[in-house]
This record gives sequence, C-alpha cells and structure tokens, in this order.
Amino acid sequence: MTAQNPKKRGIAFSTDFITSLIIFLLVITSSIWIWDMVKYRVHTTPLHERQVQRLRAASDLLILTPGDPPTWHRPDNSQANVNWSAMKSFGLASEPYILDELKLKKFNESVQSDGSLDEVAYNYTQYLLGLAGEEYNLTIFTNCTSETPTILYDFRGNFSMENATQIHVHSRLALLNGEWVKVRLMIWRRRD
Amino acid sequence: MSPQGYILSLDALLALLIAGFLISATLYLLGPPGREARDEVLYRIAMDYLTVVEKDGSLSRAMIEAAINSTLPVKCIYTKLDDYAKLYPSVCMTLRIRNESHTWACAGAVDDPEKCTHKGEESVIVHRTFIAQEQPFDAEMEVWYKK
Repeated sequence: MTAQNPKKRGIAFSTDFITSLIIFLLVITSSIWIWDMVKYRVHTTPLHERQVQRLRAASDLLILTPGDPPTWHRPDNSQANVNWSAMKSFGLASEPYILDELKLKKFNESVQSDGSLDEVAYNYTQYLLGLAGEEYNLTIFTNCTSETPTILYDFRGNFSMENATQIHVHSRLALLNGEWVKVRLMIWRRRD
Repeated sequence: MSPQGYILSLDALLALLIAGFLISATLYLLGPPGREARDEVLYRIAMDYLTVVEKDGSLSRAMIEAAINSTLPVKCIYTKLDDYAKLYPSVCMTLRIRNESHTWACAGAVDDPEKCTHKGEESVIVHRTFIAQEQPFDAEMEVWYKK
C-alpha cells in the first residue's frame, strides 16, 4: 500500500488551457469583426456595383448611340413633342462620340422654367437609360479642359439633392460641333 | 520518463489552420474592388480620348507635324493630351504613335515624376489604328492611376 502524496494537485489553469483559451478568444473576436464587415458589404456591395454598371451603360448609351428610333428628335410634325412612349432607347449621338446638337436642343425643350425636366421626359429617359430607381443629372460642359468649364446643357429631375445618397459620377469626353465637351452623368438615390 | 502534455495537439493545429484560412479568404474577398472594375474605367478613359482625337482630326494634324519634324521621336503636339489629362487629375497617361514600319512617329506623356513612376502591372494599354496622309498609324495609349 502506497501513501498518498499530499502535494499532488489538479491544475485548473494549465498552460495548454490558457493557450487554447487565448486562441479561441482570438478566433471568436475575429469572427465577430469579420461578420460585421460581411453584413455591411453584403448589404452595400451589390447595390454599389449595380449602380456603377448602370452608370457606365447609361453614359455609353448617351454618347455612343443615337437612340431608337434614331430620328426621335424629329417628330412628323416639327412642332410636336417627342413621342417618348414610342422610343425604345435614348441616345444623344449622331455617331459614336459625336453629339447631335439637334437632339440636345429637342431634349432641352423639355426643360421647364425652373430648370428641371418635365416629369414625362424625365421618367421616360430615366427608364430608357436603364436608371429606374435612380435619380440622374446630366450636364454637358464646354471649355471642359479649362479651369472654368461652362455648362451648356443641364438635364435633371425636379428633386433636391439635399437628401441624396449613393452618389456616383461618370464623366466622358465627346465632340459637339467639332469641340470637346464633357458629358457628366451623375446618379443618386433619395434617402428614405 | 517524465509525462509531458501537448500544448498544441494535432487537432488544435488543424482547427487553427482552418480558422486562419477562412479568415484570410474572407479578408481577401472583402478587399478593395477587383482589377477588372478599375481596368474598365481606365479603358474607357483611354478609348474616349483616342476616339475623340481621331474624330476631331488631332491625330492627323499630329502626324503632319511629325512628318515635318524629321527628328524622331517628336512630342505629340496637337493631340491635346495635356488638356485631356486635366479631366482626370488622378490618372497618368502616355501616348505613342507609330507608323506602319513600327517606327515611333511621336510620343507624349502627362505624368507626375513622383506619382507616376511606379505603374507596376496596373496600367491599361489601348490601341487605335487610324489613317493620316493615306498611311496607317497605330496610336497606343497607356493609362494608370497615380500612386
């Protein structure tokens, strides 16, 4: 019969226990941090990417295509308004990168006295440019490489940008009557 | 023989490796936008410029000027590259035009000696062929973001 060793004790916090606890806490903390990031990105990234893609596609439509029908700016009766409901796509170019001044002037006829587009023109162009759900501002500048570019045309809806969120801007270069112009398309959402 | 405990056992190491892999993968996927998106923007910047300067006759004028100046390569004047760069202050750009025999006709650059030197592999090169003086030329534009 052997005598019990009174010094033999169990160790509550052994080295491997403490090590594993530290590792466990590190992993848990990282996971919580990453989870928050994932939640944020999952919510914002698809929207952000979708908006940027829409913006690029819309700017392509504006400066590369004449719209469909290409003579949308010349209705049968020259005094008549644009038949927006008959349009299949919207574009301002006579050929890629060359803007058609007649189209710009015709579109400008839809601008009201307060500087905004009338609701019908705005809603149809918004839809035809693939920007449903986004508000847009389209501005065309001359002297675009100078320090003080001049606004030649400005097309926008009747909305204040005070509550704008998710704003994206894309500027393109094009020709209008042989001169360089900057075509700036800005899209944004209204904060709920 | 003294009994020894294992601080890191095999299964703990395995778990640690898996956790590390998952965390690294997540951080990578959550990183900044991929190269494709940035390349698309740079591609449009270059293609917009090359198309517009071809259509407004600037490239042809530059070639006439290059033909007058026999010393090669000459600076691509008339191409308004400096003007264009004002629209994109964060982008460095170079323009090189060569003729059919691959001789440089002219070259131009808008770059910041400090911020444009390290373009690495993140530049985008766009080519556009055009006709001037009844000869084909190749305009090559390289664009990249300033550091």
